[in-house]
Amino acid sequence: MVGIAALGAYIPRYRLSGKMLAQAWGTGGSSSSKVAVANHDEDTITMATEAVQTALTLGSISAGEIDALFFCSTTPPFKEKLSSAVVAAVCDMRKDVQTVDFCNSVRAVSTAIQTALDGLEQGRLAKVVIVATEMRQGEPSSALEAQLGACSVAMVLGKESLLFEIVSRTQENSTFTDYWRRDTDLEVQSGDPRFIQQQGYLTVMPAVIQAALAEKSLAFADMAKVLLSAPDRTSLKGLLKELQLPQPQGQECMTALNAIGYSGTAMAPMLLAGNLSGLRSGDRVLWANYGDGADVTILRATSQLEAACGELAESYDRQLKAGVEVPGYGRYLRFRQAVAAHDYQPWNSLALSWREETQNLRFYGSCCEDCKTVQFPQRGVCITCGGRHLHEQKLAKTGVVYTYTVDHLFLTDNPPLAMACVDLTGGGRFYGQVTDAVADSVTIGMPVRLTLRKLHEGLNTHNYFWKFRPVE
Amino acid sequence: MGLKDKVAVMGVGCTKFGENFNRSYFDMIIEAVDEACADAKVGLPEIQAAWLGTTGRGHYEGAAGTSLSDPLRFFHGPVTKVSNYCASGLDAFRNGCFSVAAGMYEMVLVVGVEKMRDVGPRESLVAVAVGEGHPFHIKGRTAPGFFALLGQRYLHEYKQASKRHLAQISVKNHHNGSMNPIAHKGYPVDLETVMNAPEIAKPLGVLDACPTTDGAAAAIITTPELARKLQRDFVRVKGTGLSVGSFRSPFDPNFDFLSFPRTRDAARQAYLDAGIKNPFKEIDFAEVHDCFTITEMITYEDLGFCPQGEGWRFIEEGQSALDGRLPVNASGGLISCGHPIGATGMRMIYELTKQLQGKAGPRQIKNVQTGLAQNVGGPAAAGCVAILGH
Repeated sequence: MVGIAALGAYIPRYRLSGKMLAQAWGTGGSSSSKVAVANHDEDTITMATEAVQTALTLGSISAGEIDALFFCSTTPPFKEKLSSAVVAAVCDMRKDVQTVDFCNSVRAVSTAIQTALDGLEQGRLAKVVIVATEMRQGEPSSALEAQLGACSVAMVLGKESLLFEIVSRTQENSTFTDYWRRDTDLEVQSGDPRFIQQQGYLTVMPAVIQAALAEKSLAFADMAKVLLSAPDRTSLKGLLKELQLPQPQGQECMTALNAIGYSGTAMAPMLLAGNLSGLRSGDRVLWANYGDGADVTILRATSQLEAACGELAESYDRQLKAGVEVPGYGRYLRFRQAVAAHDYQPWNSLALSWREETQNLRFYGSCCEDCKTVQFPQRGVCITCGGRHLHEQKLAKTGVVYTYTVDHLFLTDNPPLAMACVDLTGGGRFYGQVTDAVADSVTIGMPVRLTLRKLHEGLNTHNYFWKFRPVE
Repeated sequence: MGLKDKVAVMGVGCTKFGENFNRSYFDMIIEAVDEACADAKVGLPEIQAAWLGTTGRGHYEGAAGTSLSDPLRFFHGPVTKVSNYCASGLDAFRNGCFSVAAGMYEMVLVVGVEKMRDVGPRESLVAVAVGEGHPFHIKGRTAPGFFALLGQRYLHEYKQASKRHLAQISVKNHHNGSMNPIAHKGYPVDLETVMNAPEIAKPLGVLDACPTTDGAAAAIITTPELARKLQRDFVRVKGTGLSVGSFRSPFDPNFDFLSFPRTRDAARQAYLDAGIKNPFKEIDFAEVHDCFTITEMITYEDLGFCPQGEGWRFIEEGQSALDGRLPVNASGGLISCGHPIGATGMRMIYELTKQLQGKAGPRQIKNVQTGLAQNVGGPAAAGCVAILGH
């Protein structure tokens, strides 16, 4: 049996509300809705690393067990350079792990799932991480700006200790053009809403859903949850009416659209991650994804899920509730580089980046065999005792603030910059930027997490490093 | 062994410290050196060797002693450039003294100089922090941001200490600097103004910090024997110390952010050299490295002027005031004079010498026998101390 063995979601801290957009533009979004948006230092790689690490932790799976990492996004940070390889390195996976980027379609995660299943069934792979991560942009003041959300969800597909067994998969491809982005476009484009809903979403989705049910001689009544991915509320309402779903089935996507937004490849996985409460062993879930066609996966929950769903739900709910408004719409535009952002390109070196990958991306310091001091950066001579016998030691990604400051001079797109000096759990002291927090809210003794973020664009590339963020 | 009484400071010179837009790096060197030579009644041809304390690229020719030899046309003796962050000036002085004590040279010139205001204030040191250095580690640190980490930890650790004590140091130094013609910000400020000044790096405000400054200072050193023979009004070098550590101090698990171990080590060396066992009693006055107010407060403790954790009490009780028991920064310190990095150590030598010679004018401290100069270099990366006396 193959299926989903672990799940982890990452919802960024910031929210952009319909209310703020209405104040800025006089239009945009319903007054109660908001979308999750990335901070200035986040991208789909950084968000993916969060979701993957959460999935592995919640699933008690070690990075070394993973055979493949599939990165799914229509907004990868690189057009040439594997995002999956970066995520695999940051998550400290084996060097022989198969890294693949699945791009160009909001349904890419479905292709990734099918590819993973093929590998699992052939016996070539035992555990596969699939991470869907998205940061699509709408043009400022457009309807899409109020609609598109950023987030990331990771799943581990495997053959044992499953949360969900995969019962069936049904799909239909389509060249129908409703949402698209050319290589030269920064923002998503879309067609006439009524046309694309009627001839696109409301034509393809019901057909594939009915086909999936018929294939297994099942009905909606046999489903504990019906999770329908939709690009907007109107489309979803239309689908629910078309399918004549008994209330309150199918409403889950509405909640997600109102709280996170339409998150492209991450939409369908986020629906799963956010709607686990109340599932019992043996329950069926109908999971529908839309974009360049549609597909339906029928899942069956296991006793493992029944036991784990509380913890999984808590992780999701905590992040959802921790959302805070972006510090101003002008500031947000600078995050998105829609207005002049700092073009921060300090001195950088490819050779140094390569040489220090284990230290800087995989987050390994040194441990002195004589005095046991854990230290960062890695050293050849112990900082405490001068000893010469040091081995590499993976550092913890949690700690407590020893001292900090709020700096008003250093260049940042989200000033002022809080810098903290943190005692890491298990040893080592780390000094770095604090992100996702109001700078003045940092305190000595505060617990923090380490999070991977974009540091700068030196040498005209994205450079990633660790920062601190508050524990929710 | 040791330096005590082997070296004499025979003449000193110092330019105005400030935004010297109309004077170049080279202009300032010539001015400071001419004043020192006039003070020593010695001509440049008699100088046998020179040491230069500076951290920048000089007058845009890069890292070499040519930054000193070129403007002075000093081609007949060696010129060594010394860089140890903010301790460059005092460290250049140290090395010049060694050459005299070793009997290698009898007439040595030491110059400290820095040109920082050919660019905007944030395009100098802040720009270096932002644009240069390791591409990943320590991105986000500025000079105020680093010392602020100590300010935060100190205020957290010692509950009786407050921002008010930091402000008192700024008030004291601005007051002293208002009587110093070379000071960059030579005007008094009151406590409320300091406490309400815009924050630059919590808990430090603009007036807790030294400004970005140009300047140069120089000294002519020789043996006491030769100085006496030439009948000059000289002061003696009693001891020096230097300690150099790590640029990555915020990553050092042993660093407690409550003291500067490099200052303590440098002071230990200098006190040993000078035979000083009770600094509070035996040091009459000091010029310390108040790049930020918190640095001065911690330095009282590191130099042994007061017990650890009591620096706030030292300023509160007026011990370091001009009329206090151990006046600190009678010149106005870095906060009032400014901090052209390589020049600061030599400005301290200038001030110590003038005070010991009774030539400090309205800032004169009475009955001074022994004075101490101290620098912290970089992010607690270096400490340097020099003691002068009669």
